[in-house]
Amino acid sequence: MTGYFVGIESTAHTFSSSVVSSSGKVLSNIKSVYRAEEGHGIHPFKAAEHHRMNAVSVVLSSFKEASVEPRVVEAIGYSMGPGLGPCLRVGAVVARTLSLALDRPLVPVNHAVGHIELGCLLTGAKDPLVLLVSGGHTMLLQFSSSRWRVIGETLDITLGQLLDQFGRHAGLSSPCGSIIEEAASRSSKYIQLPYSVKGNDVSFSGLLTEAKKLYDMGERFEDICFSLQETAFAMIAEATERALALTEKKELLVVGGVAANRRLSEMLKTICVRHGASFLPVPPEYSGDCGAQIAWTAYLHYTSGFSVDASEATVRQSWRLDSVDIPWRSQANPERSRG
Amino acid sequence: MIYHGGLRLIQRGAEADIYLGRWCGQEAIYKVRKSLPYRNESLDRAIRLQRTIREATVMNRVKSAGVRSPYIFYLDPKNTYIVMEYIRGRRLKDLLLAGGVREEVLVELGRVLGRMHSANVIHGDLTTSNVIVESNKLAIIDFGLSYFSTRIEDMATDMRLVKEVMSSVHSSLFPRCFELLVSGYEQVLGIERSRQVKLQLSAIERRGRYAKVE
Ligand SMILES: Nc1ncnc2c1ncn2[C@@H]1O[C@H](COP(=O)(O)OP(=O)(O)O)[C@@H](O)[C@H]1O
Ligand SMILES: [Mg+2]
Repeated sequence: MTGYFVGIESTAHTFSSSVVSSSGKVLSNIKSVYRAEEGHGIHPFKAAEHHRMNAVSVVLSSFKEASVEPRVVEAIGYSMGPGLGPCLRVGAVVARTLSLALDRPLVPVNHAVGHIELGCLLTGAKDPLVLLVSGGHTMLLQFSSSRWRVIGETLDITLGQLLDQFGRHAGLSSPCGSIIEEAASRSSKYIQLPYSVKGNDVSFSGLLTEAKKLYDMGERFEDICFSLQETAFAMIAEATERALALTEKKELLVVGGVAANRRLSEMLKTICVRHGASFLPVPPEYSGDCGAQIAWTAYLHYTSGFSVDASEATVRQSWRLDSVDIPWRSQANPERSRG
Repeated sequence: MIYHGGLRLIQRGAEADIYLGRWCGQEAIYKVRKSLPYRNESLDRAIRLQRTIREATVMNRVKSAGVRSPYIFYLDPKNTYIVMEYIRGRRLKDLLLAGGVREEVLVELGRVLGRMHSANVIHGDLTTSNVIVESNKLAIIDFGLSYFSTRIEDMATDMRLVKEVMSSVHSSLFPRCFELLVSGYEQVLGIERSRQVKLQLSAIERRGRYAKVE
């Protein structure tokens, strides 16, 4: 019998609610995105206010679009973290309310695990190297010994933060990724910027400082965007290539908000060809934060026997994804050498 | 590239193609840094040139610190390739994955890392696929990301990379394998200096992983 699961996402800009079925169909995925004022970053309390104002209509639409009666859902998932405290708390309150009203259990979900698991569902990835690129994360991971484990990551800021902080310096409002991508597409003038790959890890802070400096010196915005993207994406691509060579995985799954960037995808595709791996980007409408990642992961946890009481449904602003046990994945011999 | 007789592609590395060929009558490795089509051309050229020269320089330098590394036969900066000694043995990665490594090998790897750091060499990419186990000795390869530094921060970054690889690719042997390495490292660098590196390593770990949205 098909079961239905609802997922509430509210870690940062996005408030979203989604209904999925136990057979892995995303029946609805409704979002409302908070936009910061120009030249500013996300303001946690204003974002939380936005989420409070939109929560009810987003949740109701997600049931309506899915044509699922709220009382038939088996469990309610919500993003417990990592993310911004005030935003997370809105999601937790909404989820607790639903749980009490419908008398159904709650399933706290790690937001980053959600990105990966939804990516696996939608692309059919079985045992991928995962590149997670978003506002909060820049990581390369693989599954081994019951967890998603980090093979490479940023040593300072994330790719999303790099783009946002540069964009804000230039007077844009975050998230700035798509505006920077658009501006970059109008230039082909490469200005040398610091390139820092350390093994499978990257470091973006030097690049950010230099890009801001170029802006202050009056270089053309489009040229800086182009050079910033070329440099940062090549760094990510190289770290990914190194991780592919090291792990010898035959699939590359790309998830997270920045996964939608066409230039980055293009670079990653080339790498996959060189290493004989299939390139599996998550479809753009699911790359950014959304309820579906939470609903689907809630289903996975729930069927593995995990749920909590409304009183235990708290939030965790900092929560490493490699501390989460993943009981639904198994590997007969995870350390088998494929090389 | 100059023609040196038959070359056979044996590995697609992280950034280079590795061929087995001959040099002056003996087997040799040709490490060729080809242009990566996804990278901006001028950036790509600069990186390949810098790393080829860097690799040859450091590969020579570590020998005087008592670290086994391939002998360099020829360097072509223009075409960004290096011809070097072929080291017969198995990669530490493969041995660990197959479960056949004595603990002493990991302690020795720690000592080798200690010797490099004592000579102010930061390897920059000390994954288990860049360590070749030759009967009982360890040889270190792949010095493209290496550099010279006396900073504790850089040594900690170097050590953190080994830890990251061990905790992900060799998760079932972790943390034991890393502890063995640290014990060898301490033997060479001394307790006090190792302690400083370990403290800095924890500081670095706290920095990246908890990156928050802002
Ligand atoms: N001198 C050498 N002797 C034996 N094998 C080598 C040698 N150099 C490279 N290899 C093999 O080729 C692989 C990739 O070489 P490496 O120098 O690490 O290139 P990359 O920078 O692309 O990782 C190594 O993991 C090793 O298996
Ligand atoms: Mg290598």
